[in-house]
Amino acid sequence: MTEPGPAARLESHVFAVLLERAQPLYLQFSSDWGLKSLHGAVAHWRADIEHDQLVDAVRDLFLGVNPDVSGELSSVELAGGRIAHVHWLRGDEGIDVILLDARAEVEQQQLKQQESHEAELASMERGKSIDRLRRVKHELERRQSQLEEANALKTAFLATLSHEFRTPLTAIFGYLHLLEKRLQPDVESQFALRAIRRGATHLFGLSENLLEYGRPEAGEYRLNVVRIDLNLLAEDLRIMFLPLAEEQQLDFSVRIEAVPLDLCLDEIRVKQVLINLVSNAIRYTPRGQVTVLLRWTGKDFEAIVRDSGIGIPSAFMDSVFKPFNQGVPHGSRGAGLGLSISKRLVEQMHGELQLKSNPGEGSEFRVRLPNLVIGRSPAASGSLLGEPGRQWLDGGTALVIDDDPDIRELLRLLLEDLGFGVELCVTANEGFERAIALKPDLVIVDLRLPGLSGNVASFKLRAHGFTGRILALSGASDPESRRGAIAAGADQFLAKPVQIEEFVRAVRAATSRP
Amino acid sequence: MSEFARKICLLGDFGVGKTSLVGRYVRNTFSEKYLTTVGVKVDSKEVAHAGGVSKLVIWDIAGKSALDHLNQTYLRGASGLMLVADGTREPTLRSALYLMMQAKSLLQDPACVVLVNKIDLIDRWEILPSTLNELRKTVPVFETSALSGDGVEAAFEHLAAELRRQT
Ligand SMILES: Nc1nc2c(ncn2[C@@H]2O[C@H](COP(=O)(O)OP(=O)(O)OP(=O)(O)O)[C@@H](O)[C@H]2O)c(=O)[nH]1
Ligand SMILES: [Mg+2]
Repeated sequence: MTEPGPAARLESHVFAVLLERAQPLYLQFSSDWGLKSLHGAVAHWRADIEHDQLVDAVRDLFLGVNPDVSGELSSVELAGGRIAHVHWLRGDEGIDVILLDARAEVEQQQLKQQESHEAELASMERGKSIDRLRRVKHELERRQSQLEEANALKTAFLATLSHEFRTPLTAIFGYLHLLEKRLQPDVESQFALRAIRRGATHLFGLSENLLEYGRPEAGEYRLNVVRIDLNLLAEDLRIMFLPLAEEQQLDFSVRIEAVPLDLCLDEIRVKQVLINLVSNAIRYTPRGQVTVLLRWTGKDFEAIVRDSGIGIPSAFMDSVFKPFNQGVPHGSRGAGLGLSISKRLVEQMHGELQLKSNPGEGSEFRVRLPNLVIGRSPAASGSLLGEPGRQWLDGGTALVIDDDPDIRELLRLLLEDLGFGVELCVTANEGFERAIALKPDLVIVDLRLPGLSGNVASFKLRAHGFTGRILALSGASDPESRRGAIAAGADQFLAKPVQIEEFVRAVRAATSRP
Repeated sequence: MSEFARKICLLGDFGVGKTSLVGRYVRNTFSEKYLTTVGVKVDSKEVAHAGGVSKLVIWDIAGKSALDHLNQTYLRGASGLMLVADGTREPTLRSALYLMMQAKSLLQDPACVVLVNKIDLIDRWEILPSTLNELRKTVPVFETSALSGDGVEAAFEHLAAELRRQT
């Protein structure tokens, strides 16, 4: 025997190093995949303690394959986090499988790959963020004018607050409407219903003011002109304010003089202005009377609210129209938002609001409005669930997806009143399943639902070829939310609190056939 | 023991959520953290159903927008394919469909499903509903979320049932 040469010595060293790194495990299987033997770095592969798990995992690798004479699968992570290069050799008696440890190599590659993937994702995300920022910037610029009247915080706060009011008010008015319609109320319940309506109307007025205040002064607004019934308007004012005036032992009267047949105004705004002026007058009139006169001058509509109250010193005549008492001495007229908002509303209707006052004697507010031309369907006014709608909505089906039980129930009643058969669901998935089965004419979906967003329901419905109408309801009214809902497949987007008139109009629009 | 076992492969661009979908389906877990897969990760799950117990051996293949040689070796023996896209990145759907075409040419009539993942991020989706409505005419499509679990079980079950049906 001679000593091995230097080359052979080195080779055997290399062999030892590689073997140490690879920690080979040898598994011999019979042709039908029975394990014949297992040896090699058994402990390294935990082939002793987790023997069956490992052997099963190796067998699984060959599922469905008729292996070649020899081959390799590199970088395979097996159950239990084992990372191997898998080699095999096929012989007559079966197949030999060798596992070589690939952890170090895979981990190194993982680091590099991770870095490059993350960089790519980040650059894509950056691109999108820039787009988003652009949109936001655009939106911010658009809103800047809105923030000039008051500071931004106050505005945002008021808008949120009034939103909080309006959501429950939607439910209150809806149910009130139904109760008034369905019950044959005795005197007492009639009184109670009126009291509820009065209270709710008052809250509504307040929250409308707050919301109006949060709106851009020069921003978009849309007049909603309808043929107005002054008798109804007068009656509403009486119902609301007579009890208040009586409490203070004031005389309160509403008179109508010379009205044309076709007086067209923005009913909601007119009402809001009058509610503001009258409640203001009652508040600042300790004794005497408050009178309202509604009339047609031959050229304009005029509403005059007169009181025998404390009056306003001439120095403050302008500042009462500024929000929150700015510049007005404590305790005198002008507190709150009512007057500033009334002025704004009147201007939106292309009219004028004038004030005359003598301190200690009383004040007179005069609203002058031009007769506006009807732009949209007069169906928007008066009885909201009026007969015309009923005729052509009959027989449809609607599916409501909303997690708020009160709103869900309210929508059901309203839709039933409109002639729909109605089903209710709570989550996006449930709603999707139900809609696919039911194929309703109309789906009404709230966007904020437990779990997945309501937009998922719209998206999946459209992605399954659903062709019915989808109406999305949302607590948020920003353009991003609207865009998101429409992109997901909704036909229409309504921001909460939903006015019933608006809702009915939307349902009609949604279900009108071309 | 399961008398019925099939191999399925997940294919799709990187980061679309293949590993997360398997994690949700097999272990009911999810992690926000992205750990890219190198090579392939093989898992299995046994499911009981009316006809007995069947086993899916699931190959979660490193994300690529096209098949390379390595990935082709992983595909051998697969009876089913799960093509995964990320709804927030429109190009990943094209990759998924391209991968499907490539893989189909290597395998014998594999059962296919397309998963469009991350439905929980619906407000950031770039894929249009009408696109999926069209696609559905040629291949089953599932909107899924590995994060919330929505649609995941249904997609795997659909593929498994399809494989059982083929035998
Ligand atoms: N929001 C959300 N994120 C998800 C979802 N699925 C996966 N992710 C995230 O997306 C990233 C990528 O997920 P992976 O499962 O690693 O993606 P992959 O397709 O396996 O990626 P590669 O292995 O690189 O091909 C991770 O940060 C996950 O947390 C999902 O349904 N919703
Ligand atoms: Mg992965």
